[in-house]
Amino acid sequence: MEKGETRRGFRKIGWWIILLVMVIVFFLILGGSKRWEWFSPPRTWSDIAILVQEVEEKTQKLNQILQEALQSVREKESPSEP
Amino acid sequence: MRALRRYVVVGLVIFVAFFLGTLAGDIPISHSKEDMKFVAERVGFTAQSFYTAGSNQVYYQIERNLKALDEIINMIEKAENLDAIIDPMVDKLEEITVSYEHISDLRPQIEEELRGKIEELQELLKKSKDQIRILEDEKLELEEELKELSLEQDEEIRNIRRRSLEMQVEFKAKEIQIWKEFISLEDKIYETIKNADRTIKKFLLVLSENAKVYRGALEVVRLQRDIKSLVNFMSLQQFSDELISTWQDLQYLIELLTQEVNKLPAFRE
Repeated sequence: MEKGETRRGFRKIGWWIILLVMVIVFFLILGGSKRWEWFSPPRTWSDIAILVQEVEEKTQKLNQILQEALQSVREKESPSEP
Repeated sequence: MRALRRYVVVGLVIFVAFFLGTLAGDIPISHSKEDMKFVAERVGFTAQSFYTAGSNQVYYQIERNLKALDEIINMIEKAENLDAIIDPMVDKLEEITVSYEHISDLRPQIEEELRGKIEELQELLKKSKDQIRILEDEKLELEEELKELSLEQDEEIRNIRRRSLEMQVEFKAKEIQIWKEFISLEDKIYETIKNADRTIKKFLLVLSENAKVYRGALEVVRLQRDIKSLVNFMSLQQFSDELISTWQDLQYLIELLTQEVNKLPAFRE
């Protein structure tokens, strides 16, 4: 086998390895994403309940921030009123 | 040579271990224990699959809503003028609304799945009750045999047979007792699951109603270009607490049910 042919052979194998690594990385990213959580156990209704409690806390916080923001808007507006 | 001897010794150890393992696997366990093990495994599996029925999709939607809420909070905190953020906020509210509406659409399918799991548990409970009936019949037969023993002429044979039969009756009674305890645990699991079913249904109903609340809030914000009437949906606190504690109770009961299997004699009579 000539030197050039050997190099070409190695390059070919190199490309295959790169392709394989890319495929593995692709599936790992896909597997880790929210819609395809293959590696994690299924969620229970208890997990959902915990998440909903978080949603409720966030909603309360949102309402509170909103009230504060509206209050400051009102305070800014009131001195200019006749 | 020494290396070869080492390989032979290691090979022999592996072979003996494998042989013993195969033997242990072949030891027949009693029918009753086999049945109880099967039922316990099925009950555990069904209870767990009940608690995960349709949950992945709902979890994904609520997780999205949580992120959207975070983004709205960030927007308000950073905004200097509330009017300037109404449009992006409406977009986020739309996302949350659609997500809750999606959960609402999933409701019939999830309820159907839950119903299926409850029916499976009912079947398993029936199977366990049938097992008690079989064991009680066997005990009755032994007691009949014990009564008929008085017809035996040879006293020595009569005594040996009586002792044997009395012990068998005693074992059978013990077996029935263990099955009864097993069924009582199974009953508790069934009741817990039925309660969880009711809670999940109410939980889903509130989530569906929240979809309507969000839709209403969204329309108001869109029409009035005013955010005074933003999100204020129905609380799920009570149902959330119930769902978390029920899951803990269920895991504990399944553990007890598995332990119950070990109380039965291991080997075939």
